[in-house]
Amino acid sequence: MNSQIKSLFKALQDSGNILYQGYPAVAVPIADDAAWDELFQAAGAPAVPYWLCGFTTLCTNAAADHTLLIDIGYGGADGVATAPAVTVVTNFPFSVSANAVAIGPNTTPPFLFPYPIKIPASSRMAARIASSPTGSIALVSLHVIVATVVGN
Amino acid sequence: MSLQSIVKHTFQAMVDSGGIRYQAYPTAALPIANDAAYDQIFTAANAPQVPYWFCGFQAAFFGTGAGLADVIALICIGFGGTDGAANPPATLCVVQYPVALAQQANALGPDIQPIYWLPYPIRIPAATRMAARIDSEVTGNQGIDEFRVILATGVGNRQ
Repeated sequence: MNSQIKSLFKALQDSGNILYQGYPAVAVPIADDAAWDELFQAAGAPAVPYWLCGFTTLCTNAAADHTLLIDIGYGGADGVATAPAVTVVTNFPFSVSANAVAIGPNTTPPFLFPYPIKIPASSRMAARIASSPTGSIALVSLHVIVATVVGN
Repeated sequence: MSLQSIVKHTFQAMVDSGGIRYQAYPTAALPIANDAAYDQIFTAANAPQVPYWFCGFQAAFFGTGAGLADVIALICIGFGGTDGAANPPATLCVVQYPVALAQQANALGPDIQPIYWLPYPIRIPAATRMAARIDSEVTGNQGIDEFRVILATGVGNRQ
């Protein structure tokens, strides 16, 4: 128990080793087609266990109301449209009300989960728009926010 | 629950679990009128069949048409009770949570609808329905266009 308390404390308040990283470093558009889009390959993933903490996405020119339900997962074989082996986020709602272009600021906040999800080292990730109950629009890009070295 | 198990459970939930899954309910758009009546989010049969944690919710006001006036809606959310489109929950876990939007011109925003995360997710028994309502609006009179709850399962299960 002593080591568990120590690890918990360090993870929360006393770790200078935790590193947050956004993936990928390039834009990955997500079409509203229920097909999976690879965010990064296994070789491009952290080579140590990592925690999925949240994600940020963006859509523009939303001249109508939209609600997109987003799935995110990890594992499976590399491939730009290959489904993940494990889906960890299902039907996460991303809603945008109709807006005029160039009226802003219009910052898309990160969606941070209350419990980060531990993912095995060197696991690829993929995402998709599973469905769109309102409207239909592609995401310009989707980026996951991951942490490494949590609890060390 | 012993202190040891509490520490273990917390540690696993926070930093050492690969078993956590997030799911939003319902998949279809669920409008909630400003009428103080409860609206069922999902039935018991459609709920997670394992204990789940209520982490937050989204209340999307699109404000289309004539635009949206100032709104402060007080939202109640609960779980349990008998299945039924307008049946109240047996247990309330969120009471008069304020959701506020400033007036906007049509099609000029607000834009991204936020997620209202609860700082302490609420554990709910397996196979339990949920329902929500606009309890009242202290300002304005607008219904919610789409309402969803964000749930987690597998919290504390080490994998």
